Amino acid sequence: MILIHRLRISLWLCLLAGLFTGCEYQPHELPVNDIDQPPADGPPIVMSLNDMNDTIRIGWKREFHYDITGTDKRINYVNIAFEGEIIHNYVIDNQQTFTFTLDPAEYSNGNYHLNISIFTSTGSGSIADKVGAEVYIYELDWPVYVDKTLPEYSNSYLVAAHSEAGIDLTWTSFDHPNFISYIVYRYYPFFQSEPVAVATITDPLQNSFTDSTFCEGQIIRYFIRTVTPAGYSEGQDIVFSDQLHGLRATWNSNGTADVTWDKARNPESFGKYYIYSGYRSTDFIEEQFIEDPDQNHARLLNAGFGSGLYIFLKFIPKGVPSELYRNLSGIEITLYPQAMLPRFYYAHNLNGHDFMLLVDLDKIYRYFPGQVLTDNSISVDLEQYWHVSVSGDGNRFAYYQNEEFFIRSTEDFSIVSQFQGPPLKTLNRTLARCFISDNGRLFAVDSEGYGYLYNTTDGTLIREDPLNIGGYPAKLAGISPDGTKMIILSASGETILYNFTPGGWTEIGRTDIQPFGYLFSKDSRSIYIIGMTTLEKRDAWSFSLITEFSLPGGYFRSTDPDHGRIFCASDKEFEYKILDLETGRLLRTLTLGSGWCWLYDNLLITSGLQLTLPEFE
Amino acid sequence: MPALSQVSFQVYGGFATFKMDGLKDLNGLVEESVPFDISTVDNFDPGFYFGASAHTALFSNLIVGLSYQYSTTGSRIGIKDYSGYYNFDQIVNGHLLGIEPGVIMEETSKYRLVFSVMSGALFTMIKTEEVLSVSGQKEEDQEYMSAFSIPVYPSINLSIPVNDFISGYFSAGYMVDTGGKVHLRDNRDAVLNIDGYPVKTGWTGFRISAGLQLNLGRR
Repeated sequence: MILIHRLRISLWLCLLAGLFTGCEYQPHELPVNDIDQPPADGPPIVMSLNDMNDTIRIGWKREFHYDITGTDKRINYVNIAFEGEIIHNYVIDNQQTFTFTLDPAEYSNGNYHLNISIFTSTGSGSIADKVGAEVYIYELDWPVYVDKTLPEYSNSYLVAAHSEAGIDLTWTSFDHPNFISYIVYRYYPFFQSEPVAVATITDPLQNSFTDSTFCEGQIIRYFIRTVTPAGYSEGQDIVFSDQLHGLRATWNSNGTADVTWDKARNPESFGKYYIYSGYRSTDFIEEQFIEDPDQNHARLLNAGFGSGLYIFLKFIPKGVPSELYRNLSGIEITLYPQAMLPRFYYAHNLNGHDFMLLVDLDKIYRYFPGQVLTDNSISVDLEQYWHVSVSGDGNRFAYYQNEEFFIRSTEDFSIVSQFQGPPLKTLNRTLARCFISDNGRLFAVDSEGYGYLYNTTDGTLIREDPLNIGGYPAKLAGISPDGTKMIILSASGETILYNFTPGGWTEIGRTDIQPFGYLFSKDSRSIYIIGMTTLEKRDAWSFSLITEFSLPGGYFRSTDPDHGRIFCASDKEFEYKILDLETGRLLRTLTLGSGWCWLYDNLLITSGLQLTLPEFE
Repeated sequence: MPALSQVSFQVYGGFATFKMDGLKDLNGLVEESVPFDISTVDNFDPGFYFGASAHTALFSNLIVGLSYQYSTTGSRIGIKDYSGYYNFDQIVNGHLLGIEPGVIMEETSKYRLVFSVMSGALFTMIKTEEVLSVSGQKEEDQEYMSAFSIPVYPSINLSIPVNDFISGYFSAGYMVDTGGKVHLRDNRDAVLNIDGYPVKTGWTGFRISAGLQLNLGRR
């Protein structure tokens, strides 16, 4: 019974289980997404192959890249066939690029077509759109012209021009099916003889290129290599001469010059700026290198008066060795500072005065160097600038004009006296020099060596003497500030000092030094005889030698007797020296373009300009 | 002491919740893999379950029984528009066969309150169905999977006698599914993995039910 009872229970359980499993879970219906169907036709699209939109001209195996524009829909599929043979099959999920290769090797010359099918999404957002089952289909027939004839030699006519962006190169295009590329080559004949490819262009219709990486300010050569499957051809080189720009200089009265220029536009190739200056275009006295491409200024420290100073600027490209710098091109300017004072031929220092006389042929100026001021002038009509003399005390000056001597006060330029001089024109002579003494005497020497001694007070001729030495007329002569001594230089090369006596000129002594200039001391007790290579100081009464020193390699230019200094040239071109008049000690060495200048304390004056030197100790 | 039946049968139906985290993750994976946005229609929502059991007394306050429970749930994700539809369904059925010892907590002439803990073998059957129908063309794919797990189901059971043979039966409890690895039905080694971790069943949830109790025999 128990067994039968349990069998009944099991039967019940099975029935229940079967009943339960009949109640299996059933999912609910899907909601409908209410989106609109897309238009039947998609937007027009544009396809370009290697940026071309017309017939493909091909002669050799060539890779194409295509772009599809005009639609923002997803490109699902692209199929390209050439003469029925599928050569490209793009499927969006295959991570392909829009690139295919067309090889016409097996086709003869002629016209063909590329059959292109493009499937884009509709963009409706529907399930079919998302799975690529709802598409717009575009069919294109793209004409292809196969020409496997190898090209004739193609010469590219190349021109170059400067633009803001760089150097624009344009050449004759080579629009041929066998075109592969243009290669633009560049080299610099003066420092880079191996041409370097700067651009490769694969579009035959792109026949221009802008080189923005060139080394500036250089002579550049370019040529174009046209590459075809059969080889390449190269056109003629062209030479382009680039220039740096904006080089300017401003002179400073302390002998420096500030130089500026336009910055280089190509810091990529910049190595350094090379600035140098000199008084010859082939030589230089100062050079500087600037390695900061943003620094476009420099200060030249040895500009002197600056006038006529050549200033050069070069762009040194990276990696160019220094021995090639001279080969590089550059730009140059010549500095001409503006005049600060009148232009003149000759200047006279005046003992005991803080001004100078500046002598031009038609005007004499009174000039205060310390103030850079001209406060007075007179008009004159001089034949030579050396027809002017200043007394030893600086109070009078004399000049010879139209056979008359004029004696004027240096204080106010008033005429102290005016009298007739020797009739040199009648005698067919010219005036060599004239000298005025502090005691009112004027001594003149003509071109035949005749000396004339005048009393300036009344213009009377005291003496007239033929100044012959050993039969040779005097070349140069002068009198002392006190009017009692005369020194002459003979054509034979002797220098003789005379004393004035009632009986005439009496020789005191002589030396064989060939003087370049004389300078009597203010008290007339001594005379400085400045030769070509030596300076002798002699006693004016006995002509005995007091001191002597050499002028190393140079010769006398001018003196500043009030401050006891002499300015002379040296044995080095453009180098000048200031020496102590008494000892010959070197006080200063200067680099100047011209030694035609006069020293006034620490000021150096030349025609139109004045240089301020550091103070002397 | 009122008289008690020696053997009792219960038949009941009720309402249950299901965690099913692993299978929900499977829906997420499918959702990410399709190229369109889809929505969730059903997601292992709370549903009915059914059961039957037989109990007998061992001692005065200790009973033991044999139980069977059938649970069913599922999910649907998908989309439908003018061009067609797509759905991915999971239908999950569970068959629990277990032993259920219980303690009579209180018994009067009007009711009996029992605390029981059931455990046994939980057989899960899973059917997935993926359908894509676009422009009249339909593609379908079905997979059948299964899993075995051991649950623990503590519950409170209340029986209220109607007469000597029939009682009303009420039960409430919480099932804990220890989780069984889901694998292809005919290949236990082909385990379903997501991100390298096996997908497990998740019948865990509250259960409440009501039914009839048939009392046989008397002590």
